[in-house]
Amino acid sequence: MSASEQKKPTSRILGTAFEVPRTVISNDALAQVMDTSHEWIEKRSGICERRYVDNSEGSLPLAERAALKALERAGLEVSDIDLLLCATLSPDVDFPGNSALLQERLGMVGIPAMDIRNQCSGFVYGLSVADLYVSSGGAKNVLLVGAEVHSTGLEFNDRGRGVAVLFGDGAGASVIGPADGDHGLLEITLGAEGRFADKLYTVGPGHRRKPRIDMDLAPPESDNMFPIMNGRYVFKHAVERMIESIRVVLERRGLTAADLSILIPHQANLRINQFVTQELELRDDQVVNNIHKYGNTTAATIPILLTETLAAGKIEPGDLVCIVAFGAGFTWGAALYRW
Amino acid sequence: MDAVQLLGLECELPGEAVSDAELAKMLACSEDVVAGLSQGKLRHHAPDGTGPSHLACAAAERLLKRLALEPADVDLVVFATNTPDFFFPGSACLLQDQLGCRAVPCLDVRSGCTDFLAALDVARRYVALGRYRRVLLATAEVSSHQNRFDGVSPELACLMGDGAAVALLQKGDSGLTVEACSLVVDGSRKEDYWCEFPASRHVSTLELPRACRMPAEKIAEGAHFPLVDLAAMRELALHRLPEALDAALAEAGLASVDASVVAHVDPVTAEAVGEQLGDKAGRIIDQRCAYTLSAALPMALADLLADGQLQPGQSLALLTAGSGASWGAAVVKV
Repeated sequence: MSASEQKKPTSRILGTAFEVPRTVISNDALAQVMDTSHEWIEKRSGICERRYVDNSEGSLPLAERAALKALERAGLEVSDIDLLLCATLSPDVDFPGNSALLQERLGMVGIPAMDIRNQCSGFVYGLSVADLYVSSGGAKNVLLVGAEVHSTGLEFNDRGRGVAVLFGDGAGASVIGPADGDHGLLEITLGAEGRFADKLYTVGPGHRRKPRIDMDLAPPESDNMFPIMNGRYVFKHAVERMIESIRVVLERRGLTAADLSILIPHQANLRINQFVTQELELRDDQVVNNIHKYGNTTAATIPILLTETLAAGKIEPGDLVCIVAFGAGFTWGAALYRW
Repeated sequence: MDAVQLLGLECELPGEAVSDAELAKMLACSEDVVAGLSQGKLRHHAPDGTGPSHLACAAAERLLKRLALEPADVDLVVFATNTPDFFFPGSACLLQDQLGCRAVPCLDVRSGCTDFLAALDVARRYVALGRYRRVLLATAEVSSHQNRFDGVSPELACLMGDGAAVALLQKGDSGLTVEACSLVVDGSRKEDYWCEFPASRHVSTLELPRACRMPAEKIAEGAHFPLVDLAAMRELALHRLPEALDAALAEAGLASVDASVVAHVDPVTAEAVGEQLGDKAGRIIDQRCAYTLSAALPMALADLLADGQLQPGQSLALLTAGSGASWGAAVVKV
């Protein structure tokens, strides 16, 4: 075995939790305000329903509750956290970022806090940064949160329906701390390809425009502040990059997809994940999905799915877990983990 | 951690400098008002269509050329901005594309006014652990596309400018090395310098269809313009930057530095902090330009290096405090 195969992990997930809003929005409810149907949405994406925030408090009350539960599961206190990382593409306010606002809610005094703005790959990028701080002695315990409110950034009409039906609100949190022997993060790979930025993006408010916002951009007449997606492009590249990333982290340890106990894929589209499953010749019991309940919650999908999978007893100590994500940018990443 | 060096820095300022007189005309106020705030610091304004990635790319192209490196030599892009090109994705991906890098990771970090320090700390750790060999660290801001120019609350328009600075990091203990870097955030003071809208938390009705995070009535109210409490920002800097310097000196294993730069939205505060820091801060170096948020400290560092103001062996502290609220410091050695 090479040195890298023998390299022990330095960080691991000590606790994980999630929170979604109570308000359930069915496909039928969306079909009331735009020309779509449950059958169409389910067939294209696997989504049956999603959650939308219940009030004007944003994603941070969700993030706060998820964080406190994750800390409890980790057996840690708020004061044990040395670094707060918040991954989001839909921050509660323009600035400062969600990390500053969540730090206030949690009463975390005197620590650094950063937003990771990497869209659907935000949690995997954040996991890399969390591991980096634990591995380099910059922090003992890191709180990594993915939290999103998409429901206030969607265009609920026939022009926006292709994207609007896909997204939901939610938050997930993980506490990352020192590894325990062979248990922890084994490998991580990240990538990006900015030439495809305009295949999935929201232009406004964007600071190329002078001024970034004025009445000419006011919704609903203008679509400047709503997401635009080229679904075919995203599908093709997502499949390619997710498969490639999973293979990269496995090969670094001399492993194959057959060795995986469970794959935790980003939840953007069930059809993407089914394609990846098929290409890697994974059995159905090696892959989990929950997009039918929550839609795409971008940076929150992975901690939500990981928490549900743990709660269902589908991950045992010693299991080989792979996390993979792909999203706007394009950005992508995969992590291989010994539970 | 292994030693990390900055192979070089480059800056980009868009177009010509905007004088106090020109700005006074734009803001429909007197030149005295502008001059009182700007204290002689000039600012540049990017034209319509120019975003932070464009400014960062121009600086990065020059930097790579000077270092005789190619875009393919960059292994990770870390971008810090408070004024990104798009709502999403982040500007790191856009810079990667414009510069012509490989499909390397592109990380966007934000930590209020200390996001240069956040990006520098992340970048140096990736390099020190050998995770990525060469990291392109980009800071760029186009606050003139965000701030208010209609004559109401002209402070930020007078105090701020657009600009970019980029640096390339790799392992090494020669040349310009990073000796310390840290930051602290106090989110309970978020409203001292903030911008509420667009606000994803804003729900005007729970019925479908829900309203956009930037509804027309909030644009009409001007809720999308940043607001600053300069007195609170002054108090924050005076209170926190001495301790930020102490933390950075402790990490660098130094009792003092030869020189210090204080980046702050208000140049009067920056000067007051400089006086308060005392002998261990060394010579206080004034900034040439109006405040450029994340780019302010690396722009100042690049200027000092270009002017030959730092001699080999000398150390420099880079200090900043602002929105978040956040504060912190780095120490570099020439």
